[in-house]
Amino acid sequence: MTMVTKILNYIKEKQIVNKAEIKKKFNLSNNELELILIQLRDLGYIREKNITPLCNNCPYLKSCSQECLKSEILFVELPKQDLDGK
Amino acid sequence: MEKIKIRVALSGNPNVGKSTIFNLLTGLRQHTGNWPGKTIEKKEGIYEKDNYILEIIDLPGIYSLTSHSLEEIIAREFIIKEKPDVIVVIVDASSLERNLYLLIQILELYSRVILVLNMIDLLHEKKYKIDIEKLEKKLGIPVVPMIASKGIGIGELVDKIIKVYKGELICKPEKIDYGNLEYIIENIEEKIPKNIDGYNSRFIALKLLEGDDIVKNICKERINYEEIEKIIGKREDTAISLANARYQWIKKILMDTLEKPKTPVITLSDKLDYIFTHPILGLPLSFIILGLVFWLTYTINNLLSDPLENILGIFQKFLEKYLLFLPSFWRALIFNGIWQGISILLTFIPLIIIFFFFLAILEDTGYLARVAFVTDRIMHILGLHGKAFLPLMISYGCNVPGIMAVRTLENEKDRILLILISSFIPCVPRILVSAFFANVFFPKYASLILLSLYFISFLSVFISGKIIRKFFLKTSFSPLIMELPLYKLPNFKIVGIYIWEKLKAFLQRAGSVIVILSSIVWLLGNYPQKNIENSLLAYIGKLFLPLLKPLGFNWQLISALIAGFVAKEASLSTISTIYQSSGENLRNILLKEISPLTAYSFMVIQLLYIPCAGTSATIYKETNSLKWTIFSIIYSLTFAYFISFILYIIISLFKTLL
Repeated sequence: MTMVTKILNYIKEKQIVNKAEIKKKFNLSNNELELILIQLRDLGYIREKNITPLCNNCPYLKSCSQECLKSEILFVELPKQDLDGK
Repeated sequence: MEKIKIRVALSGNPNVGKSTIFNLLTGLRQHTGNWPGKTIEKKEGIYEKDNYILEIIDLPGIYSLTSHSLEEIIAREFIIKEKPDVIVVIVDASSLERNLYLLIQILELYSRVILVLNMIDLLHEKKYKIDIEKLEKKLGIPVVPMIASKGIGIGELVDKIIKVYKGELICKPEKIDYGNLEYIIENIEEKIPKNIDGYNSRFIALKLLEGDDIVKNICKERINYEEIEKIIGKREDTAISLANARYQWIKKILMDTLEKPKTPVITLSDKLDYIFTHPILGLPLSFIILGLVFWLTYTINNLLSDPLENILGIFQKFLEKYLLFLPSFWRALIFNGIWQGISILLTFIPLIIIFFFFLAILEDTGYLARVAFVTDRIMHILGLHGKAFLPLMISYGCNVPGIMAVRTLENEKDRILLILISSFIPCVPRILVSAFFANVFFPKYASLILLSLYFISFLSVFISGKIIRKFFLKTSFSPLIMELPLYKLPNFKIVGIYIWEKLKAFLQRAGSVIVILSSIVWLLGNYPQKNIENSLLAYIGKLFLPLLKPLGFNWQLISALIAGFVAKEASLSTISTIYQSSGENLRNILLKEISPLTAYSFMVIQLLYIPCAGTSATIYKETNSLKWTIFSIIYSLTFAYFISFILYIIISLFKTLL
């Protein structure tokens, strides 16, 4: 099984994963993982979802210190139709 | 003699220094507009050397040439329709794997390409060594190492652009071998013309296998697409095989040309994450850390709360002295009603500061994101939606923004489910009420009692998620990958702002909602007569007494719960206002009137029962449904009662057996 397939299957199996876990599990560098994720995005398997715009519109922004959420956390989703066909 | 124009397009991933190179080349001789019909900025400029004028076009920053984003479509259409003389692909030399992916795609479409390895100094800093000549041979195109921020390599780039244009440097990119798929690619190529709308047949074949919608539509208009569709067959296998081939190709190129240090760097974040996000250890560890925070909060608070109570007592006497001119009714309302409600909350100021100090540190260091991740993963394994992460995390502060964060979910059922369960996360006012009761009834074990409440709320989220999913909202899962922020040392300025904002919000509520509520409670407690046992407040509380009597509740606790609907901390101010009539110390009178078991049941109920008015209004706004808003109120009320009742019976039985 090739690396891209392995990672796609791992995400499907784990459902919720941290990028650091994938890197460690498959002994990948940050760049290698990013490359695979971009390819999976191109193929329509994952979708990026940045929550920053949502935080910017939040009326509680001023009293919210969720700095990590505002800037660094990125959601990548697997479209349902692909998973159903697993 | 007229100068020769060379059209040069700059392409690359975002943040690779493309704009720096564009500015270095064009200086002031540039202008900015929009791409035709698009809102994306287009930058053009010129650079002159000898007999040549380089017209530089800065293409939008992109990761690939698929049709997922407007930027990618613009870049692709420009290459196809405008046909620049030379394309300069700029890459971040320290992230070659990711950057070379775009290069592959451009090379599949166009051959006169120069590769710029920008930020080559960062590559050297990482102790990497790259063989430029070998890379040129492997790729079949010229390569220019560059440090754009220092202007190093610009001259070489210009020379190579001119040489490529003049044909003195030949670009002969190596074709990627897609292995078994080559047969399918050739088959598709045979069915289509050599060129459609500027796209070569190989590029079209590859994009069709990848499921590119724009290319598919072009083909449907021009050729018999059904025949091709039969060749493509099932998309998943072929598309992933293409990705694998590209991944292997990039890996092979870099293996031959890039020398990396032998031992991979394991960062401190990696090491810490191994412990904090461990599938088994992660959750117990988060409870231990939370327990430690509670313990520290209580220990420090106990040193400060007595002096503060004394100061508040002095202030009350001072006020009483200066407000003697007021009629007795107003003085009673102010001192027996409003002041009793507010002063009890003001004694929490040290606790709030200390608690938020630790919480801000946990958050600013990046640990809180790990807690949410670990919690979320366990919930997912147990059957909850993976994206509970964000609402859960935010709800720890206040449920209102937590519920608003549910907007990140597209599916309506998922949204409603998360809205309903997010309100079980203990917000700070609820913790304050519990903190007071825990300190009065279980002074030695107060932090453990609070920890148990967190555990109950965690279980409630899980159980409710299961119940609502099974009986009311059948939802499906969407897996997700998250990038947790790196650990960092806390910034004490941010910590200070965080504490101040929370304290300010608390004081504002105390000065507005709690003042009004305390006044109403005092008035109801003194109407129609001054004996509170026969007052309207007692009448309202006693209405629900049959329901809560089995848990040892009196009407005073019930009235506090009712007030808590407006604002959770109002439960406490109400109790203080009610019991002030006895003239005794609130702690002593509570210990006399309520058993520890009833106090614990009260803490559980106030933790889980109906969301506060602000949260309920947000639920209505976010669900746009009165039905779901009422459901959330009724459900949480029933659930809180049920859980509290079960706990009461279990602990009672346990006590009897002992």
